[in-house]
Amino acid sequence: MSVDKLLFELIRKGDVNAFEHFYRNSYMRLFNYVSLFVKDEDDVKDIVQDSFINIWNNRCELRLEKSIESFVFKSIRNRCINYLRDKEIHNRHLNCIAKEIKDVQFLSENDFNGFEEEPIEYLIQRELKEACEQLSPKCREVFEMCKFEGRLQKEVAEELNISVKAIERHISNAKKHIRIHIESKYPGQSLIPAILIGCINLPML
Amino acid sequence: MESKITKYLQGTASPDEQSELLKFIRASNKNREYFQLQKEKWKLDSKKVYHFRTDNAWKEFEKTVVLKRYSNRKLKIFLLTVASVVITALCVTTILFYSTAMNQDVLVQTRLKQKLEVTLPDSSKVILNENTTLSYNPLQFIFSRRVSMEGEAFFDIRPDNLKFIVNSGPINIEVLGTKFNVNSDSENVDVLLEEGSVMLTHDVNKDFKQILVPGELASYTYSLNELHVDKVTSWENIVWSKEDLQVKNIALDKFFVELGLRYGVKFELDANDSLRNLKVSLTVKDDTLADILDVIQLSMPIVITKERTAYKVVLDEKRISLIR
Repeated sequence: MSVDKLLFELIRKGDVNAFEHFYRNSYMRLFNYVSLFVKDEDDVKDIVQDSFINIWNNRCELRLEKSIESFVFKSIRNRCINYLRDKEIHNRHLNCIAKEIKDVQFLSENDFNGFEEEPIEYLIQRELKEACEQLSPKCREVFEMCKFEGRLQKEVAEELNISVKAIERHISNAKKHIRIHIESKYPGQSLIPAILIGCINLPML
Repeated sequence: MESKITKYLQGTASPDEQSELLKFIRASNKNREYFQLQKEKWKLDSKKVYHFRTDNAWKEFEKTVVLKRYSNRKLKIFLLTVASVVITALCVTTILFYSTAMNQDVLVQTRLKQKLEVTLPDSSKVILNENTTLSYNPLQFIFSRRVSMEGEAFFDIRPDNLKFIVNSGPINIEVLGTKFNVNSDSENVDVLLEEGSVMLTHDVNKDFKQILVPGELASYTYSLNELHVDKVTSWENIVWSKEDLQVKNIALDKFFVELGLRYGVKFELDANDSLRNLKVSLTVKDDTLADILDVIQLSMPIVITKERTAYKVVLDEKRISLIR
């Protein structure tokens, strides 16, 4: 049994010392990874800490298929995606032009996953667009005019001949949909989203 | 390269150093394996120093999750234990109490020459005459006001929406709120109603129903299995349940008013001042009316005669003249 697997087993059984060993060895690497995308230091701390808390609280559900490092990395990556999504849709003008890709993120991916994935910056843009395509035509039109083209709500309301209140409603609906779309694809809260979603759909016993 | 890897793992590598390391890993699989090997080595190094952020973050983590969780779990287990013990004890005592209470009737019994006033849980009053037994279940009494009796008892039932049932032999007396007397022995059950109304039913014969009005005496005979209803002329039968009538030096007319109320009869006094002003001192217990009238006639110079609707009281001139 490798050291990693032994660690994994101990953490699953609730061994705090084993978890501390794992925590201390990976904290700074994860902190630096999140810092690439999140500028606010307190937010960075929160994202990393929440992921660790989530892993610890759900340690019984951990499966040995992957290393614990890849688990925590995936959780943190998803949290970053969700954080960036919220930041994006709160901006008055969505920044959909591809930003500069931060190369250093691939170092962390190589380190934790052993392979390289799509850069987060691209992923966010793609998912935002994909979520928009699923909106109702009117909602999408309003959302794109306001957010992608950066036009004022009042302007759009006059052009489409609807009230500003309706515009606000469309935008809040769109935001909600985008949030749910990305959250379900990249869950930051739980390790095993499928089980959770299954539970929600089950009728209360 | 080894120092760069260590710096990266410690979280202190500069962006340039990180880029360089990425290039190194991307260059070949051999390099990638080398990186992994260095990482494992670094992880197992017990002498390494962690970044200050790591220490702070771990302390925070320990405080919010590990310690809280453990104390929570201990408290939870303790509370669960206490709760289960309390619930079990409660269940056991409830079952024990219930089963014993259901089987335990209150029994009140009077001996010869003993009278007793009993207040039931609904504050109804029952006055027991001598040699009488009254029983009821205090727990069931909350849901159905039901008592059983043998002997003689006077009931003063508090009005309530819940029916009050007196069981005596095969006869049930159902009431809501009244005053009545029950006298039962091995041959008869007598029910005399003073106030309100009652309904008599039979244990076996479900069709049997008899409603009484005040002043009626229902008499059931076991051997004949028959019920007779008669109008009573006086309350002589229930005088036993009343307080003793004590008078001291009061005028005769006032005394006869009280005596009339007590026995449910009327007295008519002669319009004679010397008769009305006669003073009387007497204690009346549960004697019959005839006995009392005899005693009064013997001790005072008066004559009492029974007429159709009332008793007539006149002065005995002969004795008066003798006294004078």
